[in-house]
Amino acid sequence: MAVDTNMRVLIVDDYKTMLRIMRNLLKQLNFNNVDEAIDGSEALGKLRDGEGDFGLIISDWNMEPMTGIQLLREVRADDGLKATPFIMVTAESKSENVIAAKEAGVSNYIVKPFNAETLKSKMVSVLGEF
Amino acid sequence: MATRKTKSDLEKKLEKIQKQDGGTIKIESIAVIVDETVSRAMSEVLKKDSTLIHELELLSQYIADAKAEIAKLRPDDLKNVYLPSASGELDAIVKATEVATHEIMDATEVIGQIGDEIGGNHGDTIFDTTMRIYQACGFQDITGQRINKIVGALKHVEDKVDALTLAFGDGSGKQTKKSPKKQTKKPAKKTVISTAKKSSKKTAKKSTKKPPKKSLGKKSDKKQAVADADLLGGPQLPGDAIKQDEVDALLASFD
Repeated sequence: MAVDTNMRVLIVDDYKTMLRIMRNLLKQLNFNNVDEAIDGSEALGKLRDGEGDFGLIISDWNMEPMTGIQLLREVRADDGLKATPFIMVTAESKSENVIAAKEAGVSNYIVKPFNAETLKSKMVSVLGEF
Repeated sequence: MATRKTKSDLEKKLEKIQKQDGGTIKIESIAVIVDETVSRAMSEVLKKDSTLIHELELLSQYIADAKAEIAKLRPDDLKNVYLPSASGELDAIVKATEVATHEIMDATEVIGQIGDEIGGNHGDTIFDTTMRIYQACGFQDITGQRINKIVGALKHVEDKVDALTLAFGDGSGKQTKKSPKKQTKKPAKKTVISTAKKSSKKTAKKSTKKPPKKSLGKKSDKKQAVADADLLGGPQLPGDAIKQDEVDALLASFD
C-alpha cells in the first residue's frame, strides 16, 4: 500500500533555519501536512493533544529542556504514541549516540549535514515507498 | 654512607688514643672526640637546611615569575574585554549567517514556485536545484553548533583565568578576591547561546533539572541524565564523525 503523503509529520528542532529547511525538503517530497515543535516537551504536547495522529516524527537530538532522546523514550513509553515512526536527525555523530537511540527505539538515524536523498531513503525505509 | 664513615673515623681515633694513652682512654680525649663528632653532625644538618632553603628560594622565585607573567597577560583584560568581545563576534557571525540563510531560502522558495509554473524538464531542473540549495542551507545549523562549542571553550578559559588569578593574585601584589557570582553566571540570553544551540554541558544541566516523567530504561533518572549528558557532544570534526553509511551499518547490526 502506498504511503499517504498527506499524513501529519512532526518536525522537532530548536533551530528555526533547520525547521524551515526540513519543511521545504518535505514539501519537495510531497509531504505538506507538517507541524513544528522547538523541543521535546513542546513536541510531546502536540503529540498528546489529540488533534490527530502523526504518521512520522523527525527530531533533532540536542535541544532543551527536553532532548530528542528523551522525547523518543517518552514516545515509546506512551501506548498511544509508541507505534509512531521516529527518525532522529542530528549532528551527534558518535556510535554511542546511534546505539543509545537504537536502544531507545529509534526507527532510523540521519547524521547532519544530510541531503534530500538521504532523507527520502530513510523515510522510505521507515514508511515504505511513496 | 656518611654515618658509616663517621663511625669508621671514630674507631680509628679511639684506637689511636688508646695506643697513645697505653691501652686506656682519658675522659678529656673522649670529650674532644664527642665535641668533634657533634660539630660534624651539626654541620651536616646545616648543609641540608641550606639546600632546603635554597629550594624554597627557587620555588618562591618561580611563583614570583609566574605572578609577573600573569600580570603581563592582564587577566582582567582577558576576562573583561577579549573574551566577551570574542563571544560577541561569534554571536554576530551566527546572527549574520542566520539572516543570510533565511534570505537565501526566501529567494529559493520564489524560484521553486516559478519552477512549478514552468514544469517540464526546466521545472525538474529547478526543483533539483532548489533541493540542493535547501540542503546546503543546513550549514548554518552545523556552524552554529560548532561556534557554540567555541563559546563553551572560551567560558572554560575564563574559568581557568579566574582560578589562576585567585591562586596567584593579579600581579599587583594583592591576592585577587573570588569573582563575584555575577561574573560566573551563564552568558546573557542575547549571546550566541540564544541564537545557536545551547552548549552540551548547559543542556545536560538543564535536562537534569527536568527529567522525563517516565523512563523506559533500567537506569535511574539521575543516571540516565548523566548518561544522556555524555551523549551531547555536538558536531564532531570530519575525521571523528561517523558517516551515514556507518550509521546504517550500525543500525543494521541490531536486526
